[in-house]
Amino acid sequence: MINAIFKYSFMQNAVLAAVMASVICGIIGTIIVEKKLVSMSGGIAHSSFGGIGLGYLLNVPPILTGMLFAILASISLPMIKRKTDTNADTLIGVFWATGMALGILFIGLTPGYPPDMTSYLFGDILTVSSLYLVLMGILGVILVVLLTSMFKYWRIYLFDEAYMKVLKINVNWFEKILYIMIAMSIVLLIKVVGMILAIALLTIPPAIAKLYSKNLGRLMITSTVISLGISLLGLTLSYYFNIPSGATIILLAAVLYMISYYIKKILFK
Amino acid sequence: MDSQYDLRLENVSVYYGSVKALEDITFEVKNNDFIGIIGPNGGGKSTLIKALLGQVPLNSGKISINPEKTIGYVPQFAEFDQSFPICVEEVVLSGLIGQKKVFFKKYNKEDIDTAYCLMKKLGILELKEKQIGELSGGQLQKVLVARALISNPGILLLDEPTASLDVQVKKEIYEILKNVSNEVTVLIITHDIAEIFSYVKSVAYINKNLHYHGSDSKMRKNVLELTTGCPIEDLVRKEEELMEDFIKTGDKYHDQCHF
Ligand SMILES: Nc1ncnc2c1ncn2[C@@H]1O[C@H](COP(=O)(O)OP(=O)(O)OP(=O)(O)O)[C@@H](O)[C@H]1O
Ligand SMILES: [Mg+2]
Repeated sequence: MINAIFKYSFMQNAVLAAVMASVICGIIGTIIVEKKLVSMSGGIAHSSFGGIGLGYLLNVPPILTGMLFAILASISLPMIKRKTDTNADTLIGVFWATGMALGILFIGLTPGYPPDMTSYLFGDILTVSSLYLVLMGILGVILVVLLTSMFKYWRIYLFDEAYMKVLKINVNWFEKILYIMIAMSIVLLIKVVGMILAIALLTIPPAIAKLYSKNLGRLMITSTVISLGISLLGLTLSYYFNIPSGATIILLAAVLYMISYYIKKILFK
Repeated sequence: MDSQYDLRLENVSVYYGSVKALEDITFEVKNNDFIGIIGPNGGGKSTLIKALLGQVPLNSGKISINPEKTIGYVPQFAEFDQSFPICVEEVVLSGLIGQKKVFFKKYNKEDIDTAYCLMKKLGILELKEKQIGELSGGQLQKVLVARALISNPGILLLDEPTASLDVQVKKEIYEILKNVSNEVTVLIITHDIAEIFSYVKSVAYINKNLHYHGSDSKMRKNVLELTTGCPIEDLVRKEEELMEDFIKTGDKYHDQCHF
């Protein structure tokens, strides 16, 4: 594996992608779990499929159109919810299905052979392009800077938005930024583990971390380390055994969750 | 706005859909008043505070708040997720957020001293490292009171802050509020009509409409009449009649009772 990393640039890309995906997962994953935004994130992930299809149809990089769709969904979801007073779950369902349907339609309209969608559905960390890496790097830096420079504000925003309003702090600003960050993170993770598994990669590491910590900052760091461990191990396994990387990573995460759960039960009985 | 008044409501009405919560409420709260809001369940008391905070839209009327003063608030029900990874000390200190710089904010020694002093007064200092979900209902209530007090607000709005507290702590909180009300305008919703009159400077009785608002010597009598639904004289007389009955009948009912 180490040799392969030195030898093949696709391996270097894959390792870099795993590192950056882990930072994104540690931060955004902890946030969506604590703010109860998991199903909303699922809605955003699937909405982006419409954009990916559009990218194929227009012959532009699908990640860019996918990101556009995800961001539009993440901005309009809370807005429509407030305006129409619709149940959030219902609205998420609508976005989820519409995004998928649009994606299928656009791909159907694309001339020539239908493109291979498996890398978007299930991810393929071994074929990460340099465009992806640059985008992931930018997002990772933005996330870390935003979070560390305003950590106390974010913590209160996540904990008790209503009180933040009482203190006359502009909550909308935090909401918009957070939702856009979630949308971008999800789209970038799609390449690593696929649209279907992105949510699992976001939620399982924080769930493991939460077994052992009750401090927001420590939760984020622990989740990052856990994500990094499982994605590097998953990458190695998929390289040697020639099995799908996304699925391997997620299964490792699930196994680690179960082990941690029982260790905690035995140790802290 | 007349700066003598911190809060002023003029013909305020609030509806939730077709449900009337408040109708045509008009009153003012003076600078450094300590006002108790009393009324039945569903009478619109919490709605009144939410209207003051701008959390519910008004159907008609107008609310003015002294723009120079900041507001502290203790909600009736905690609106947050109690499993959130945050400890008591962090929640109390969070009341200070928004006062100083936004980026790389740190709490200084003074902030932390204030927090500890307040928590000590409320008897929650030793809980400072506990995660917020590990507290009892009363302890959590005290944390929320501390969070509201720490920023030294000019106006303090409290929605049944003593609802799940024991008698001793209730008294302590009322004493604290009474002390701060020399410099702070305090509005408190409560059902403690037995205790509240020893502390407040004025009361308002709200049941959709404002039935009574006053600060004179008769406020206790007026509010008790509204609360019990009959004149106090009647209550007193009834008690006397019962007593007479009791003596006349020779306590034959109570003989059968073992406790
Ligand atoms: N979010 C809401 N949606 C619809 N109706 C509401 C809402 N909140 C309150 N109400 C209604 O408005 C009325 C006033 O409610 P409010 O909470 O202000 O009463 P309250 O005086 O605080 O009662 P309590 O003493 O029980 O706390 C009630 O009839 C209630 O059913
Ligand atoms: Mg209430």
